[in-house]
Amino acid sequence: MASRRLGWLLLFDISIAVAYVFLDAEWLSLPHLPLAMMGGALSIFLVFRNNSAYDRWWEARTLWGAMVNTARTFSRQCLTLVDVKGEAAQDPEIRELVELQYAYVHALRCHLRRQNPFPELTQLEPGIVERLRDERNVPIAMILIMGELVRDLYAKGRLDSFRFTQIDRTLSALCDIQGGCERIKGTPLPRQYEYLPRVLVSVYCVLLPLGQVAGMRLLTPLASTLVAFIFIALEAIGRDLEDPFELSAHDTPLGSLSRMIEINLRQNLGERDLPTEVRPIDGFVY
Amino acid sequence: MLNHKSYEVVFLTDFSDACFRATRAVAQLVDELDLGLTLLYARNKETESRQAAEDKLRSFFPEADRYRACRRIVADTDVVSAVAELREHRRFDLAIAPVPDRFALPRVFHKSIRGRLLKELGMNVWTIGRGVKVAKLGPAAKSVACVIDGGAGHDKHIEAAVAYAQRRNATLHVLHVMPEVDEGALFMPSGLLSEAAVAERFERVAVGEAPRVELHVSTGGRVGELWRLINACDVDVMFVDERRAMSGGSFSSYVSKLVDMASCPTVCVGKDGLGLEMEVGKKTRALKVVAKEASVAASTEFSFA
Repeated sequence: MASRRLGWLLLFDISIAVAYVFLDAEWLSLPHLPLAMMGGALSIFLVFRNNSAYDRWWEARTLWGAMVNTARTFSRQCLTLVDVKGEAAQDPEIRELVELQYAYVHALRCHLRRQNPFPELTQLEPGIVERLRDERNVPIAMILIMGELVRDLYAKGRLDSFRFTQIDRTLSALCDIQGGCERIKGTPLPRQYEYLPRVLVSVYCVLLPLGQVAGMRLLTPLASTLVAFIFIALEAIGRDLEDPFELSAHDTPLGSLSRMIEINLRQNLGERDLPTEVRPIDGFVY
Repeated sequence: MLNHKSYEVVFLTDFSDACFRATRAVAQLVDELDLGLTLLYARNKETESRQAAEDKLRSFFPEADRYRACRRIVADTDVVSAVAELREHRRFDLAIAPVPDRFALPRVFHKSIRGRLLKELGMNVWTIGRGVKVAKLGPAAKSVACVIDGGAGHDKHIEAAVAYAQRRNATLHVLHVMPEVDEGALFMPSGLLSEAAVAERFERVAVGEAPRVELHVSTGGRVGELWRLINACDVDVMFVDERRAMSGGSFSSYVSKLVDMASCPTVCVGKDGLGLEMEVGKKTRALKVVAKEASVAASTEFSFA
């Protein structure tokens, strides 16, 4: 989108320069336009908006950092706090809890990216999947199921009340992280932040060759396109960052993070056949 | 699971942003159709090693590893030849080919990969353009459109649209734009020039019972009017005839422009059809004809036997 805009501006700049130099259209020249002042004010405006967008991106990344830690903690608590007779990683109830945990991470990624999670929930019991199909918020329903399984362990006497409280607290932390992500997802930047920078940058880029053409003549397209590129790039950066869960090259790398959590948790269960890590593609991590 | 047989889909990726956006829709298709998915990347042998290409492909759409059947293939030839080669050993019902990210200037002599897939291989192609809305890629389709124009065609796209609408219990919008005729016209335009003619064409092909069918007939510029109708009907997926879908030469067809502007994905259906079968039910269908001025409110209902 930005490159198309830039292409049209280049054509506009060339036509202004050609009309001024070869067709004597001197009325096109507006040398007294306060371009420097306008550019300064516009920069401040764009930087302010980009800061707000980056804050959202960074908060999303921080929340998913907390998700990595909390998922690992939950897995560790299931494997070390629940009373078992044999090996904890072979206990079917503990395995189910840990598998639900990494399935939850995948489901939350899909929920935030508005993607269908069910093809990824293949390792869960068919009964659980059927129950989840009726849910509007699948990850929250999964937390509830995990809570019910932990309650069953408590009822069976495999957890005392103190350890039950600890695990329940971890589930609440998952809920808090999800709430934070949903807040970012559900609250877009104010409309003015999207609309005004685009209009102001466009107006500035159109005025730019008019203010320069008297002095720079045929070199006008070179200078004005370069300056326009800077402003359009600044605006595009802000737009790319403002939704960190939009499944694009610039969003939070949820695919990579959720895969890492899955590898960690499956390793905790003693599995050897693990999926590969997600690596950057052309410098972008998804 | 919507279909009786397993579907085989090849997803052509160049790791563009559009390919990542399309993964949402693929996840939905996997859930609906129980897809066998092949991810295909054609590397440039001159600039990229096989190992680097395989690493990139392994990291693309990582969640697909958890799907029932997913293969990842790096090809050393161009993408259309690679698909042709794969088809010698395996049937593919659909190719997923999102539009590449491109720079500002039009590529006059560029041959569209989608166009080549349609023309040279006769494949069904699922695609999105630059105007696609992200919200249209994730959820299940509730509103399906089928574009009928006046030209001769195999009309397999009508069958596919009816069958898909049946399976999704979605509303089917039949879209048609008539050319404007005035007293200054030198030639009488050809094609379907009345609502009844469009309805008759639809009836002839669509023997199955779609849950709700709405016929939208308008006049004016084809691309602009179809684009308006798609937005007015809030279409989630659109089916078009492959023969008018993509041009392989220098000038784009009207459907090619429409695909680029449309807010929803487009399925270009080839002469062999999409492989979805219509459920033949009762013979009477209520076809709701929606006038141009009243795309929401006033409408006339006809019954066809």
